Amino acid sequence: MNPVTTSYLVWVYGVYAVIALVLTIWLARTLFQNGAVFLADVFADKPALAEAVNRLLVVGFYLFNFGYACLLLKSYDAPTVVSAIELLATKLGWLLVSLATMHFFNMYLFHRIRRRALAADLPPPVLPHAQLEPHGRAAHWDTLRHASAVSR
Amino acid sequence: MTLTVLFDASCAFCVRTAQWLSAQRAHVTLELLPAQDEQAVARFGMLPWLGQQLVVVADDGRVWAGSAAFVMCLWALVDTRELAMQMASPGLAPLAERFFRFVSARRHRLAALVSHAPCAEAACARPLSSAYR
Repeated sequence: MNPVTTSYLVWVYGVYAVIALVLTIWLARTLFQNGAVFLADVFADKPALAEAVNRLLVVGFYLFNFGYACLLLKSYDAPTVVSAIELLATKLGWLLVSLATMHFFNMYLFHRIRRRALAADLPPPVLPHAQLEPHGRAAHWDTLRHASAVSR
Repeated sequence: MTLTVLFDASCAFCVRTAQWLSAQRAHVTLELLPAQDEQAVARFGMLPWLGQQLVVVADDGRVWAGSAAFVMCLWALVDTRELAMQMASPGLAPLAERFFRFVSARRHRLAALVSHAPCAEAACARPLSSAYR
């Protein structure tokens, strides 16, 4: 067997590169379009900021995934068609798992950002112990809370 | 909304914590007053907890004391509001209350951990006698 002509490595690289490119671009666009809905809700009064945050997140997504796809590229040998298919599947598998991880991480970030913004409107979580009259010195006590819940 | 936090100025740990509080990003305006301060006594002297426990008073007259006041301080800050909401939940509230009582009862001993010098009144009270955002 001639070792120069029986390697399918170039084909594996080619197919892998095309699929990695298409997948990453498709995912980044999905992230951008749907992330915009979340961020528009959070930064309702600052649409430019929402757009900027969204773009920066997508840039990070592109950088991470293209970088990772490049690192995954290198292989040593694919002498048969079967081994070439297996090699391609392994590479795409790792790529997909990493894309999925990044995607869920991004969703978590959107969730965090949104929850934080919502927290600004939450009322006090604990009942007051007393109520001072707004324009006088007199305090009138909430006797229930006063008697039971105040730590001594 | 403005929250007035009345802390024990005779305890260095409380003074340090109040300073930390005033430096945090907050959802509401925080006014930090030593409970022993003349202004504090004039405005809130009728509150039985003043000087004994942490007291938080809102500008609409609502008063929280003890562990509830502690939760209100956390609620006021941007970074700890979610923590405060969880601490007030039925599952964690008893634990938060015990934690606050534990710390509160030992506040003068804790002072030794955060301060090298005994808390001279002038040194402690001066930077906190005015309102902080």
